Amino acid sequence: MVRKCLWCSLLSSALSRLVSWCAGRFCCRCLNYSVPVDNDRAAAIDSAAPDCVCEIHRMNKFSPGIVESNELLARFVLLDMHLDKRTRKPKPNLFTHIATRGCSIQRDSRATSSEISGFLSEFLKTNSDAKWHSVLIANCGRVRGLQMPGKSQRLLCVYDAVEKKRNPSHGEIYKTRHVSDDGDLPEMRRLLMRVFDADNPIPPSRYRSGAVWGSLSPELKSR
Amino acid sequence: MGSSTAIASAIAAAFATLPAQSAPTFWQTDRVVLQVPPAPPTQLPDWFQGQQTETNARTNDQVHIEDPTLADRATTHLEEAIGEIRQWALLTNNWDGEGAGPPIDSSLQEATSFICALPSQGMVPEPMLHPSGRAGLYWNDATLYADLEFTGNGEIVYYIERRGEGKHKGVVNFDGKKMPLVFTTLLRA
Repeated sequence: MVRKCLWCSLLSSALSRLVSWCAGRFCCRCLNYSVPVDNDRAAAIDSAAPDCVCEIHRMNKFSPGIVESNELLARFVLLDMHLDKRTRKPKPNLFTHIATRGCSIQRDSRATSSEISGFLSEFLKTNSDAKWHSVLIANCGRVRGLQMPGKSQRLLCVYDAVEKKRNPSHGEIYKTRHVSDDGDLPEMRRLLMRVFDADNPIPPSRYRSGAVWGSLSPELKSR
Repeated sequence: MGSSTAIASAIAAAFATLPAQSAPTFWQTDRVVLQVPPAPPTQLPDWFQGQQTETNARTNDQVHIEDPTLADRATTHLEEAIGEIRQWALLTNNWDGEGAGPPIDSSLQEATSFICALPSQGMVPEPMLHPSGRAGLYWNDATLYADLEFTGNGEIVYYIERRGEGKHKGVVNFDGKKMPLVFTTLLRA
């Protein structure tokens, strides 16, 4: 029986982890850039990085860091198409992008009011039909912890998938392969509606004590 | 166009005064007979059965309809939902500003067919358009939460919670006519 050198073994293991981490860091950043931003993006990212392995790496050089599980995530409600006409509360289609190109969120714990204001102004100016209706907030850990009853697989990944330098606090939620496109997606939307507390949307005037709302131009506020 | 019509009319009038046998030989062999089919009996489509009177442009007949109340009634909530879904057909790529795909016509059609199959007295769904282009219907009140998505391939993906009765989910075929049995119980008011 060959006797192993304890220090050699530890060194080998540490080296292996280091190489793996470096490669992962490089690959995850490549992944963010190389996967096309189209309706197959969620599936492509899950295929290349199963079980959310890239959550421990920054996905973009403009990102302030990986999305920590104790962060708050904000999903802004900006379209009539996402509102129930009778109750004025968000509808589940607000979250369907988890299965297509990724559901955009702002990292509320990281983003400054100025960054949020910039993101909102740009979106509202680009989309003339858009209006800031409300915002939903959820804890990242709860989003990551969503599971189907009786199963332990990860269903959703939260990445710091920054799209632009001027919106560094942007992130995205993607579904994994454990949410089947057909059977589970409506249930996933239901779970997200709960976690984001869609029954109690926060009006713009109350979000961050109205700081962001107050910084928008009168034209955008009057929509 | 007008002059040729006038000439044709003049020739037709001239020959009309003559017995058919007296037409020149070349005319009898080559002529083209233009026939205007008789006007069909006046009949209005079912959906029109609510107007008080209508003039048939061809026959000039005044058509009387007995029940004027149907045309005056307000649009129902179900009809409003159908109208909203049909309007989505005009949307194009990126209708949500986040890169959504264009609406899928067959999915919109399935959603409207489904609404038509709903009982008029039941709870009215809220239409949804997903960024995948698929249409959906949504109910959410004190007793029911339901999220139905129409694939456009004759299937409905659904998730339904009835408060106190647990959840139901799955995929069911939909032929566009008959309400799938599972929904007659789960979507009851």
